[in-house]
Amino acid sequence: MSRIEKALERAAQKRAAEGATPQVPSPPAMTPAATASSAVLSDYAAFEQVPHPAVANPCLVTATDPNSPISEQYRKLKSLLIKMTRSEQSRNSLLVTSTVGGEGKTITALNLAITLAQEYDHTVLLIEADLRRPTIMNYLGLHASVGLADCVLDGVDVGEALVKTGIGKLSVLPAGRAVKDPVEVFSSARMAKLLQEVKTRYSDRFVILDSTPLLPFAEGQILAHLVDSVIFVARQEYTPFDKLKDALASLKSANLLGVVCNDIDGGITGTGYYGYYGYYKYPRKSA
Amino acid sequence: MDNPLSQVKKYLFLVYKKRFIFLFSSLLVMSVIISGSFFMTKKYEASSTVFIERNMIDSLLRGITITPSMDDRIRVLRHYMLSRDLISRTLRKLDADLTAPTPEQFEGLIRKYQRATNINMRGQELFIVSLRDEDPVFARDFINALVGTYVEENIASKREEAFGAGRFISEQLTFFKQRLDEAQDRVIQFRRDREIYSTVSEAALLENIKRAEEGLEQIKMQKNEMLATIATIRRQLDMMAEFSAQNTSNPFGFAATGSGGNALVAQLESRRQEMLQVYNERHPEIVRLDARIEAILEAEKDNPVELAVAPVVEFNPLEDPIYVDLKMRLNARETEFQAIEARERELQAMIQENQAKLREFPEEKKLLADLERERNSYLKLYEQLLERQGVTEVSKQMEVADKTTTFRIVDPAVLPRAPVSIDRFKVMLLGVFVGFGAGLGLVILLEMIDGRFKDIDSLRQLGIPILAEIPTIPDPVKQARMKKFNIARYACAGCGFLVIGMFLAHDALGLGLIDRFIIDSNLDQVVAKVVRFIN
Repeated sequence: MSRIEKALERAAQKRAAEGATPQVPSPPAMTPAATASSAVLSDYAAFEQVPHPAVANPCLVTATDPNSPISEQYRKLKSLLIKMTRSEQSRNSLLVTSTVGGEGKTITALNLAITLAQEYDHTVLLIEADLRRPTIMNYLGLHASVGLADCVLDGVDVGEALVKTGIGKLSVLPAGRAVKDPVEVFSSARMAKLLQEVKTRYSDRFVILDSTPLLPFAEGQILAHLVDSVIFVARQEYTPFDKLKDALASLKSANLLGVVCNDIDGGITGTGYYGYYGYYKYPRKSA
Repeated sequence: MDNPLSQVKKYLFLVYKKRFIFLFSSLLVMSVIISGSFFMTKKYEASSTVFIERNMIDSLLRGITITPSMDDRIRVLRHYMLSRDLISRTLRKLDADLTAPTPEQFEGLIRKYQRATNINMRGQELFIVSLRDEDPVFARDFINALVGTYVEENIASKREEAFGAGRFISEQLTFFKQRLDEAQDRVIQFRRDREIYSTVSEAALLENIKRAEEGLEQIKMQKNEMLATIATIRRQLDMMAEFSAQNTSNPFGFAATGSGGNALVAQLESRRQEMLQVYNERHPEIVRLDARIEAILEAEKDNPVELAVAPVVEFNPLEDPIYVDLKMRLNARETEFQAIEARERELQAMIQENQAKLREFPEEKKLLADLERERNSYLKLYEQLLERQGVTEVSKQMEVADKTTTFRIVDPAVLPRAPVSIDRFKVMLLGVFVGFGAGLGLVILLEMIDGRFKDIDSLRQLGIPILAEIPTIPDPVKQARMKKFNIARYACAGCGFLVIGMFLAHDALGLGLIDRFIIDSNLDQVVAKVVRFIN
């Protein structure tokens, strides 16, 4: 059993002892660490204080079914990323984008973040940089009143806006309040400063930004030049191929690590990774 | 990986992916074809079988007679039977032209029946003419009229052809006879003009010249011999004349011998013996010598001294038998010489004449050869025509007696009872296949026009690294909803195929329930009206 699971178990026992019902705290309430100094943040045990949320969305497969072959694919992606970024410690900010909407950017960013957060060595900050249609909090079943927009536009402290998810060492910086012109937010110097700050605060932190699609909106392009590397998501049988090529071409000046192909069909016979189900079911049963 | 198996797998996967499009588009096409098959116009087929009969007499008289171009007719039978002329006459015979008042409509009618009439040849002896039409009575009448007209026309034209051939050959025979006679006359006239009555060859002329030259050689030798003889005789005569001039009493020196009458007798005897070697005793010269010897002997007996002393006799050459004889021989030789010379001249003239002929021979021969060739060619043609006239006569008689190849209508067209034009079951089966084909085609078409990202390899080809291939994340709620929806769609498709299967079974069993329903509810008329309106 992993340390996270043990911590979660202890938290559950504590809640049972207190007789209190587990509640997902509102950001200010649930983030005593955010209001506390960074010394508190450096204590990883603080994460263990946050109960594991009841993630119900089946798309967050790394949280709901970590032994599934799909989770294994995300773990493979995580390993690849760690390998690619290990050489330079400062290259820890990552943008997840795609051609058009609906290709699974947020799902990919979330699953990748969860996988990384489950890792013993890493803390992960997932920034909801899609101010037009923020969905990360909905996927996690969390709520927050302040977020990225507030930090950039109103000067709210990032620490106040951070939401600890209870999934490993994963924190989320929500989108925050609705803004009229998201491009202005991302093109501002404050945004660059904020990003630099969250990047450099902890050396072992991975900062993942979930942005808008590249072709319809400009934010993705702006963010691609603010982060260290870019992951591009393409969905099979969905993304128009010519547009996909245009989007990839627009990332020429950015550090594109590669493409994550989403929603890959197993074919008629369902061969591929599913053939190894037996392997994945075994640990689940034994657990 | 473009092997056939991978292609099949690719299409199968494609069909599976878009299985509902495939199923419902197939069903739609099948439904249209199958329901349409119930409203297709019924057609009836009338057919007639015609046997091309070749009688035994035809085989027997092969070579003697010529059947007028039957094989050619069979070869073009299809084209002739479907010719515009024959079809239009057949239609007019059946008053079908009344239904098409304008020439354009009638033309359309002709084209329609040209297309609808089917001619099926079975070997060289049998052909079946059939027509599919909505009106069974018309189909029967049309086929019978068409076949009847064709057969009648063939027999009539065959006879006409035979008569025509006979007539033509007779005319040609007369013409060529006249030409042959003219050519023959020209040859005769030429030979008469050039005095070549018989065939004179170049070799014969050369042989004549050679023989004449040989004759001339012989004559030359004879002439030389003759000239030598004549010269000898002349010399003897001159000697005798000279001797007699010296000794007039005894030209031959009898007296000089000094032996008197005996010596003369001996000389005469010697002469007599010499002549007896050539002539017999009755020769006048020998007789005269005998008389002379006898006279000398008698004179010697009567007066031996006198004779011995004074035998003075006057010498007369004409009385000397030897001289006379020589003279006569000379004359004879000279006469012969003249005759030989005349012969020589004659031979030389003949040689010259032959040589002249030989010089003119090629030109003459050419002219004659041309004339003869012309005559021979006419002769040959004439002979051939004469021979053909006989054949034509027999052929004509055969045609008149209808003994040659004939068309026998084995099976005339009868009124068709059951419609044959559409085998509805086959049309339905065809509809099923066409439906599946259309479904597959639609799926492939959609795939072709689909510009979405499908293949990871296409991304790799762009040189972009693939970080992960995330399979479809199952969503139980969505899956359950989709499952229900799919079950409903499968059920719909299944029902559709069941209905199509029922239609097929209905037709295979020949139930006719749907047909009765269509007729009872006047659906066919409604559909016909709709089709007419669309047209």
